[in-house]
Amino acid sequence: MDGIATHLEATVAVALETGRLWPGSGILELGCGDYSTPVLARIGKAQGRQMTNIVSDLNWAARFRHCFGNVLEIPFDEWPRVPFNGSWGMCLMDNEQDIADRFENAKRMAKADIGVIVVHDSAKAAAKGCRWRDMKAYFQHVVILGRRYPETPGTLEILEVALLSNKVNPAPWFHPGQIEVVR
Amino acid sequence: MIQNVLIPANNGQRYYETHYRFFALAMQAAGAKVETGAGLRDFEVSFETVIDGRAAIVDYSDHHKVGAIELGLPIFKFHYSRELHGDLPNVFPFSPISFFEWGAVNPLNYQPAASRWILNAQRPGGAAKDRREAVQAMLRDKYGADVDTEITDQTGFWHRGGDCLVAVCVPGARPDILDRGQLQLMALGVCTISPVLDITLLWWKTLRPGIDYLTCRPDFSDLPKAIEYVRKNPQTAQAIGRSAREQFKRYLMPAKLAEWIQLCLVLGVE
Repeated sequence: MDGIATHLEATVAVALETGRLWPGSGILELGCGDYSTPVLARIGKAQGRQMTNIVSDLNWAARFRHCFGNVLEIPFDEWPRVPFNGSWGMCLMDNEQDIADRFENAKRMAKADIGVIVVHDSAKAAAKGCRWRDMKAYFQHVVILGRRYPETPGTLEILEVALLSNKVNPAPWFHPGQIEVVR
Repeated sequence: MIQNVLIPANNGQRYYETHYRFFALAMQAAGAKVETGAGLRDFEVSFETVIDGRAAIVDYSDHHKVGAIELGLPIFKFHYSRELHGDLPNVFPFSPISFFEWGAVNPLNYQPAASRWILNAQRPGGAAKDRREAVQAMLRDKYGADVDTEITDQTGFWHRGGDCLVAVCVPGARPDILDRGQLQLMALGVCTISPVLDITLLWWKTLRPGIDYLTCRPDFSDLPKAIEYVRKNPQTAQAIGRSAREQFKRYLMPAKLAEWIQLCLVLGVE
């Protein structure tokens, strides 16, 4: 496992929990990747859930064609046109967009019927002027997940994943020392 | 992907074998099961469809009117005009008729540098009778035997497109409409000349004058200038053909049309 799939623990936890909470609900993945897409496809299949991937780079996505239940393309410059009005149990947001653009996407998704949104690369948000506290205006539950590296005990925490929801508080699904609840 | 599409049954509607069929075959080519559904309505220039359980309207008007808009259902419009329809909520651009047999969409070996033929194989008729006859007369007068106006079957038309220097296209129902013949030639990678077209592709993209096709005045008075340009710059003509083909592949192939419907119906596109 490399440093890319830092969202995987959260993604798997959210996939399993949302499958339990809302059986048969869809899984939406924005983007696709070596770790997340096969795992989500497998969980979706095991739980009887339809998986939809939305991508901008079809050449990259072609690698994962065997995993896709349904793949849609949104050209790079057209994401702001899409309010994501559908209904899904979870959404993993790990697409090609800059974190600031994902931030804006997530705000538009707040009105959609989505159980939990997993936003990858959340650690980069501050550098782009995005504050997770601002998300509280859109989502009832905003939870940041960190990763504590054993080689730097106790101090270095890299925050990689944010969980957003208006339907359920995902904080209890994780070890208390691993999360920061935004209030 | 779209699983199931319902369209009205064939009750002898005037455009069933063209517009209804195009929509049905495109959805089939994208992998959907297409069947006729009881009770689906036909309107003057549109029909009702049900796509994976969601009702929508397919509007195939050649002109600018929008059919059945009062129903409030999402409308997929064949000849969408950004200027005229851009403010209408829930009306989405869709492809006008291109191909029925999708296996035909293979790039031709288009080599304008090796050709002197000017293709203008369109039947003068209907609203375009005078315009097409005038353009054909002008081309014959100026270019004589280098003008190919023979009407053949579709396959012959496509292959002659591949052998031409450039195709001159005179729009039919209205002077700025993208006709099936021009769209097919563009899809096959041929450089075409026409007046500026009022056409909107998926995602509200347009075919770009000077990039995806060459333009002339609506009265075709400067057509010889455009043809001379192509004669002197066949590589540019080839690049324009390639660009048109890329736009077609990106925005008008069946899989893209099906994706677009899903995006509009399920995710919402604004």
